[in-house]
Amino acid sequence: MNKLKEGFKQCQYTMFHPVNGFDRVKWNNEGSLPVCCIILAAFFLVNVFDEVLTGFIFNTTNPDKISVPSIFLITMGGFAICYVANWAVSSLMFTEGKSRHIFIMLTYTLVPYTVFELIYIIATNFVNNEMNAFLEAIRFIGLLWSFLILLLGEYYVHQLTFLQVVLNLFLTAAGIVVILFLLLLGYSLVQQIYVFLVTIYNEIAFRL
Amino acid sequence: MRKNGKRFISILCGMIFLLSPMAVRAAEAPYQTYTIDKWGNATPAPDGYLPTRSIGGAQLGLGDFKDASDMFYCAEYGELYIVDSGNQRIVVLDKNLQAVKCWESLTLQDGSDYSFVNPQGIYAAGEKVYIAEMGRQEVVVCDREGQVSNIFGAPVSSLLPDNFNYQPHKVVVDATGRIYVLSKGVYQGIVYLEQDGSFIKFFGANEVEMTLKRRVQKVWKSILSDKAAATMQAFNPIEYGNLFLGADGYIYATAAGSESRGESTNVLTKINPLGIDTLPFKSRLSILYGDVTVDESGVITLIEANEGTIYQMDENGKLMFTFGGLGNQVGLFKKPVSMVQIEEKIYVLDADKNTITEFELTQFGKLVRTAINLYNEGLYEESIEPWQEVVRRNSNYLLAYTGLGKAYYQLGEYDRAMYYYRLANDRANYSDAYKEASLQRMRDSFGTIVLAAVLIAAAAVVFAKHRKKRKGANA
Repeated sequence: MNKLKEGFKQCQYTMFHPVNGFDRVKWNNEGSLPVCCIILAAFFLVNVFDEVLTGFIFNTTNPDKISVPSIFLITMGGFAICYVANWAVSSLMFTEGKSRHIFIMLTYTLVPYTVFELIYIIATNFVNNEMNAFLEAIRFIGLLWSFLILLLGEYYVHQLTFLQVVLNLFLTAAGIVVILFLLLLGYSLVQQIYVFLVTIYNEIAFRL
Repeated sequence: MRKNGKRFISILCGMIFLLSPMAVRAAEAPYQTYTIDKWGNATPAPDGYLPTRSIGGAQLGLGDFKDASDMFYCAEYGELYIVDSGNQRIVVLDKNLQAVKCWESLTLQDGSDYSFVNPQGIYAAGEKVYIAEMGRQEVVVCDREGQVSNIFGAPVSSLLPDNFNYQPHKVVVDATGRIYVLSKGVYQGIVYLEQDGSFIKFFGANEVEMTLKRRVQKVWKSILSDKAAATMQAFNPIEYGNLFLGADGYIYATAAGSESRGESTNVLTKINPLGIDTLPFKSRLSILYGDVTVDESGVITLIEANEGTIYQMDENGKLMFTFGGLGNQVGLFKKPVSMVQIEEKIYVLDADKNTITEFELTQFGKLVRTAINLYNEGLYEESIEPWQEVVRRNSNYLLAYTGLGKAYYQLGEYDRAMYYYRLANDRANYSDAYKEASLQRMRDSFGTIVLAAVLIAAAAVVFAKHRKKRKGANA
């Protein structure tokens, strides 16, 4: 319990002091993986709340079309792909980030977005649509903060120069596309093998 | 005994035959009316209009119509003009669809005959009747007896392009006597003529939206040579196909073509006297409207040309009813070209079936119209009951919920208005009602809030004093 508390404190510290925070993640082995998992769960939940609990005025989602499994797949799968892509690219670039550091960095990135999105969802239930601009501003601040955390995280976890950070992010994006392509390829391959096996089974079954 | 039994059986058979419900004429539509639900899905709904009869030229004793192209109802004299283009004549009916007169030709001022070649459009205002004669490339003005008073040929102006080809096919005349002519193949807008037939300008051309495809084309055009660029698609607005002059003086025009992939056009425009589109809802759809008519309460009725469906919507574009469709039965069309509204009935002219079909409001339709009319007149409280009745009959009818929401909003019952706006999925209005409701709540509890604040402040002061005293006593 104490460890969790410490982990959250570390996360909170990193949000406001990203340079020191990420330095400590890297060199003092601070930051806890259970806390990161809780952040991920919160991120998923906020994405669900976004469709379910947003106030009527701002919620244009058809309740019949909400699918929690697909939200789970998109958020968690998306995170997993980002994580793998960044890890792979960083390894190829011979950076100093370890997989544990990358995981912590990426989950910390989600924190401002998650918190501000939660504020947004709560606020939408209490205001009318004249406040739309303020609400969008809240969301934008969250995104901006997240982006800054991501940049600084890359900078200190991987020990890169600014240009290398940009390159790393760009290559990560490319890596995500490649991974998605491979997944699609694998999926269609498995499907074709399955169809092939079923056909063979049928042919044999008809002849026996 | 055997004989009696046989007779008994035959009588019984006869009785069964007589009592069977064969003679009942069920008023059932050959189409399924639908409304759009909250999430944009079509849901079945009770019929708003039902076909009552279908009349052809033969039934009027005039011989079949042939390629009839336009209809106009002159409310002042209760006369329905039909342009029977294929037979080169104009047929005039009264409002009960009885033939009044039939003009095979008109009489010129010198007494000679003016025969039609290819009349396409008609408009009547007061004593004057305007006929768009496409075959002769002119607009003929005559009186109600068929005596020609004016013939307006192709307009002459330096504003017109050199290759201007005048093909007038629809005509509308405003209260001041100025003439609006639609000419086939003219995309610049409506040809706007002075009372004496002189050209003023092109009026209210349809908007060209710069879609992504067009932007890409624009870039290409700037790169390519002039000659190559000239072969590319031009950014011309789509020409109009039909006109209607509303009771409010606005001109409603339908586009002669609908949007294609990557392009976007207004298929319906409501042009104000300045020539600007003021339609309060978006009409960028891949739909082709053949004709439009609008009544005094602002209800818009449109023919969808490709599927023969008739859409009726309120002035804000909220779908009220659909009816018609393609087919052979009465109430379905093959090529609906023109439509008029006479009182509450709608008449549709079919150029292929050569008939006029009459549609009458059902009980449900009447209920909706009553409610809309009451609301438009500002009688919000009175409109609640008909709207409630509409909801009882069709709980998917969103317009009723919006109507109820508006009525309760106007009455100041904001919570109830919110409830109905929510059912109607009307977020903008819900937001307004929510704003008022929270303001009201704030006002109502203002006294309590102030009282609480004062009490807390007083308590704090008393407490502070008490503490000071004790501190003083301790010291």
